[in-house]
This record gives sequence, structure tokens and C-alpha cells, in this order.
Amino acid sequence: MATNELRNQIRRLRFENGEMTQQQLADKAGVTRQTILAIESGKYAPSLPLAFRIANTFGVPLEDVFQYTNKNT
Amino acid sequence: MNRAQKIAWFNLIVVLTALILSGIAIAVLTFVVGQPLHKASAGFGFIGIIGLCGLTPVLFRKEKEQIEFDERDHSIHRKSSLAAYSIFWFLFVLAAMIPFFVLGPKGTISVKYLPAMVFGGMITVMIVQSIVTIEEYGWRNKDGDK
Repeated sequence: MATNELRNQIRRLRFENGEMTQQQLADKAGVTRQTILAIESGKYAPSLPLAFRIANTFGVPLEDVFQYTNKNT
Repeated sequence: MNRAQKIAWFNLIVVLTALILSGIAIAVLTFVVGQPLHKASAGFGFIGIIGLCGLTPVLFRKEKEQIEFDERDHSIHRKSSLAAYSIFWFLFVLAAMIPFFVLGPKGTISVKYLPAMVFGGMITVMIVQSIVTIEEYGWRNKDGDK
């Protein structure tokens, strides 16, 4: 059975960017802190525009923030 | 807990309180006071408590200059509305078709059941929408995270 998984590096990138808080990232990305929390913990898959906004906030390409894996189990 | 969660909890508590009080009132009027059921149905007056849900815009004001509703909230709102109106539609079809099959095509029912269908539908939508909203945000986590 194939399972899809969206992983992200938001937590690591936040700490590498001056220990940015979730609220600061949320304000820059234009969402609520709860949404950043949900994305960071893998419970919510953001829309493409939001994913790009988060990547732009860190100044890195999208694939450095989000990784999509398709596992066959 | 964000604004949508607070409103969902408030609506759920108000609607359930109204239903429970109505049930108790009807039971008391029927079994304790000894009123016939059509008179005991006055206990449904407690349903009026649901009107308190109209106060949510005042009780839970939007904060200015703060993002309160983003794409995830929209997604949860859409999901809860879809669930609520799907169940409402299912019950509405049952409410319309069951009398047809029970009473037959020439049967008649009192128009007093029409407002009951409207209120029943409204209550169903409010309960399902609130439960799905709370479930999507998470029952225990007060931070809006599931």
C-alpha cells in the first residue's frame, strides 16, 4: 500500500533564523500561530501559496522546507 | 483556543442546555404535573435559549490587526458546514419520506410539524457543525492544534 508523507524543516529553519518564534513566522506568512503549529507537527498540509510564503520567509527554496515522500509499504 | 473554537463550544453548550431543559420540562409536565403530551410540549419553550447563539458576534469579537481566520480555519469551516448540511439533508429527506410511507399518499399531517422541522434542522446543523469544528481543532488542546 502506498502512503504519502509531507515532511517539513520549519522547526529547524526557525531556530537557524535567529530562533524565530511560531508567532513571528505566522505573522510573516499571514496565518495564525495555530496553523504554523499544525503544519510544523505534520497535521496540516498547507496550500501551495502558503508553502511558498513560508519558504520565502526563510529565504530558501520550497524543497528545503517541505519534502514529499511516497512510500510503498 | 481561537475564536472559531470558542464559538463552537458556546453554541454546543447552549443548544445542548436548551434541549436538556426542554426534555426535563416536558418530562416534569407529563409525569409529575400529569398534563397530556400536547400541553406538556409547552416545555419546548426552553428551546428559545438557543437565541443566545445570536450573541456570539458580541461575545467573541474579532481582534483588529490580528490574523484570526486563515486557510486552515476556512478548510475546517468548510468541512464542518459540509458535514452539518449533509446530515441535515439526510434527516430532511427522512422527515419528508417517512410520513409518506407511513400514512400513504393520501395521508395528511398537521402544519404544526413544519416549524418543528425548521427548528430541528437548525439544531441539527448547529450541533453537527460545532462538534466537527471542535473535533477538527482537537477536543483537548486549547491551542487550536489537534
